[in-house]
Amino acid sequence: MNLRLRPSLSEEQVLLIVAVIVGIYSGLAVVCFRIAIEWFHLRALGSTLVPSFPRVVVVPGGVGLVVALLVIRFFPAVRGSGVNQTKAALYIYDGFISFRTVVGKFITSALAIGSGQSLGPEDPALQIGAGIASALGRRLKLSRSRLRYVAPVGAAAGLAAAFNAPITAVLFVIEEVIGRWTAGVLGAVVLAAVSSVVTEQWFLGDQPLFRVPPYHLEHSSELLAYAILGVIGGGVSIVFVKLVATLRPRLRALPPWTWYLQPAIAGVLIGIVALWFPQVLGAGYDAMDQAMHDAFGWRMLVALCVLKLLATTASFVAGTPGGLFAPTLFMGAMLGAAVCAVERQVAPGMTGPIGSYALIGMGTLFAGILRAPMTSVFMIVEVSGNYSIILPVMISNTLAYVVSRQFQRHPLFDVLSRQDGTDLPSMEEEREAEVHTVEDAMRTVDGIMLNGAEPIERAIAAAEQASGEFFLVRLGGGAWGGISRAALLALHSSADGARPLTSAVAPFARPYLYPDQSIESALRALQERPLLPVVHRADPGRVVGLLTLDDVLRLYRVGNAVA
Amino acid sequence: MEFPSFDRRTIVGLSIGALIPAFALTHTVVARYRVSRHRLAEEWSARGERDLSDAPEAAVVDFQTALSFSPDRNDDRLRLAEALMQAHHPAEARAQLLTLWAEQPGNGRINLALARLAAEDGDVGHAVRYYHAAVDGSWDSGAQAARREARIESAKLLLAHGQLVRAQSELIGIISDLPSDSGTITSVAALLVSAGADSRARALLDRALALDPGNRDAARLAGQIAFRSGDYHGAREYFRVAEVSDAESKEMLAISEDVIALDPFARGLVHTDRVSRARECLEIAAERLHRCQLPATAPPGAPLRYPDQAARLEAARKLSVRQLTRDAEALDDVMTLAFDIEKIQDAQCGPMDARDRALLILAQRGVR
Repeated sequence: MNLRLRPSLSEEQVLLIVAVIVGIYSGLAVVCFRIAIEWFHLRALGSTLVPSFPRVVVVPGGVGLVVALLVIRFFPAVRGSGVNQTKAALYIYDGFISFRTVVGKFITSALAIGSGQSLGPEDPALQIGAGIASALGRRLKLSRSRLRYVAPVGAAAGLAAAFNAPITAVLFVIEEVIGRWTAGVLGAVVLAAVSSVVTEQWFLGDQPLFRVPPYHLEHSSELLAYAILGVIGGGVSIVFVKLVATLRPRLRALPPWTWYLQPAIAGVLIGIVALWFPQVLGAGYDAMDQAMHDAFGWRMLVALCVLKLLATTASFVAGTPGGLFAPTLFMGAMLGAAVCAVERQVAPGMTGPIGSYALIGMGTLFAGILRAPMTSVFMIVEVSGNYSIILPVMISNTLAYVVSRQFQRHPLFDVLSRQDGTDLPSMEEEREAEVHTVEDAMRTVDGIMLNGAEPIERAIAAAEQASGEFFLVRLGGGAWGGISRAALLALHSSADGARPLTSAVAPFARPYLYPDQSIESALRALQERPLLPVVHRADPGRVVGLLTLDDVLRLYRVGNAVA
Repeated sequence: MEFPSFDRRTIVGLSIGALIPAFALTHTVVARYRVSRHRLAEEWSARGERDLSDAPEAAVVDFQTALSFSPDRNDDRLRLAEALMQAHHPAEARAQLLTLWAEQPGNGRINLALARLAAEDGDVGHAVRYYHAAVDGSWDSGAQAARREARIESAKLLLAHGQLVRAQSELIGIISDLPSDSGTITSVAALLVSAGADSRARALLDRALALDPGNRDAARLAGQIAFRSGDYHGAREYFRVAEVSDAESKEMLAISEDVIALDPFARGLVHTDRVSRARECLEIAAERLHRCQLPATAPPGAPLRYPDQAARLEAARKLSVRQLTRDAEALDDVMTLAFDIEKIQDAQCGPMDARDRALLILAQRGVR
């Protein structure tokens, strides 16, 4: 069978075309998904922001029962948020996500979120996009390596449409799912994200996710408040992750028949909370908008943050399909606004608009809980449309990230994947992994370097004083060569001992390494030579060390022994 | 389920082709969704309008719900802000208005609402800036009246904070745009009076009275301006039109009438009338001096406080009508004495009645 679209199209180019198609389909799917959530919400809870008592008590619990039945009986792969499932498709299942999962995720998430479970639509949209991409990739019989990457491409499309924020989606997928900035994949991810956002905006308009008052820094001392927000946000993130990490395996360890009841019980609990605090129902975007517009006092904001944390924990650990992005943003918005409200009382006249604090709080919790620092910064800039907000965002997000890392070793999604028995690569750990350089492994030059200008006889005499089996030869003009002890001795018997050593040694094609080069690239060079000089970048004639394969192995042995 | 196997080109072609029904389906779904959201937004918005007058807290929830269905309905956001202001949630109202302002910084209605909030906070700088933006901004309807209202409110705020010159310039800016409505003109004139621009105010009041001669407020204000400017004839005429009932205006009317009646130097008077008025002035001054010479609290037989003036007064009283008629200097001396007495007593002898005030006014105008 001819596997090429056209003789001139490479596999990479096919991936780009697929990315655009996937983006459009994902955009359409996400539009319908959002409408489905709202349609069901209206039918189940009514059009008011404060649903009536019977609905609030009955609907989340009742629908939770239905959702549990659907998940356990028909769509077992749709539990949870969808981010890890997409990563698993990339790293374990060769890009496979069944279309049944897409359908199941669509239906069960729409029911769960629409009925008021405290979860968001973004992560499911990500998985829906990934599933669409996977299905199309399989039909196109893409190569295994391309098929693996097509799921994250779809994920970016789904997330971009759900957030109406293509940069955020691209960064998240690169930062948290793929972990690499290869040109081919990046191009496909960007194309998919852009085409899905264009499709989504075609139907739903280009309104930003949040409409906030303009940001301005009232006083430079306000940055201190943002730093405090970062520290508190880091603390709240730790509490949330630890709560989920502790409760989720315990609930999973209960008898399987209880799994049918867990989402329902979570729904009932949320319903009871919603009798007094209806803002915790669903994704909570309306409440976030209100918080950004100064609708709540600081006590109410703190209460909403805490209650949302508990409600989301309940929904998520019960295995209800739905995402963590929106609840994370909700908690962050309430926390940020609460910090602003308190600051106003402590230092009146020194506080900027509360909407800015709420926005920055969102990024703070995103950095603390999901541990995607780059995404968290650009997300806030993108959804606010205000570049000047970046300074407090960076301060707050970085502090939240650092605090969270200090007290919670693994990010939430890594914890979840390990609980599920799938050891997916941790992008954070990969980012943080120590990269060895030539400098770490190289040895000093003493004893194994010969001067090419000297006669062969003197070179042999010098070699006899040294212990190595291979010698480096300085050839002049910045060039280097090498010769083994055996070849040197052979020269002594066959050639004129007065000839300069240069005449018998050929220069290396690329005869040196630099101290800052990675060990990986040095190893490639060492395939051809047993020993290479390490030279100064500004002065290639100046040798600062030597590197052999033994040196590299010794470095890793020492590293392992220390570990 | 097994799908038939196609080559890539066909699959891509089918995928692209299938976009057409997919778009059509999504379009249908979205169209219904939009209609439904629009209807709900309308319903909640209408409910908010109904609640706005008597239940602003409920109106707030109504408009918030309307916005949840249609966040881009800026009219609803503005009404939400107004409901929040009525429900005494100024911070939330301001946040909503600032969101709107970020999108429509030239919207007059938004700027006016923001100005009112700033004015309530006593933030004169921001308030005036927003008022000016409201004046310069765009209005869907009734732009002229709204701009005038913004300027008037701005002027009132400035007056309340003692910034008279800035208030004057605000008011002067609307004089040429005032409608032919006597009441509106009078209210602007009143503000001009507060800002210390009496002459402009009087011109406006004359315009108001020309439109409605029965406008008693305008007449009263004009009378007060005329009185302050020394136009006692004008003041008397205005006050008579106004049929004043307040104490201040009544007193001004009485003083004006006395000034007119007592002025011995008024033009067109025959000598006998002039002398007669001078003598009346002298008697008023004598009464005043008498009251001050021996206050009610003074013990019997106490010495006189102003013996020199008393002596001069006795001498002046002895001048006959004939002497005064023939000798203009003597008449001037009499009046000078009367004025001196009133001036000294004004400084040292406390409250005086309307006639004394009239005499003092004549004294301050000087002998012509």
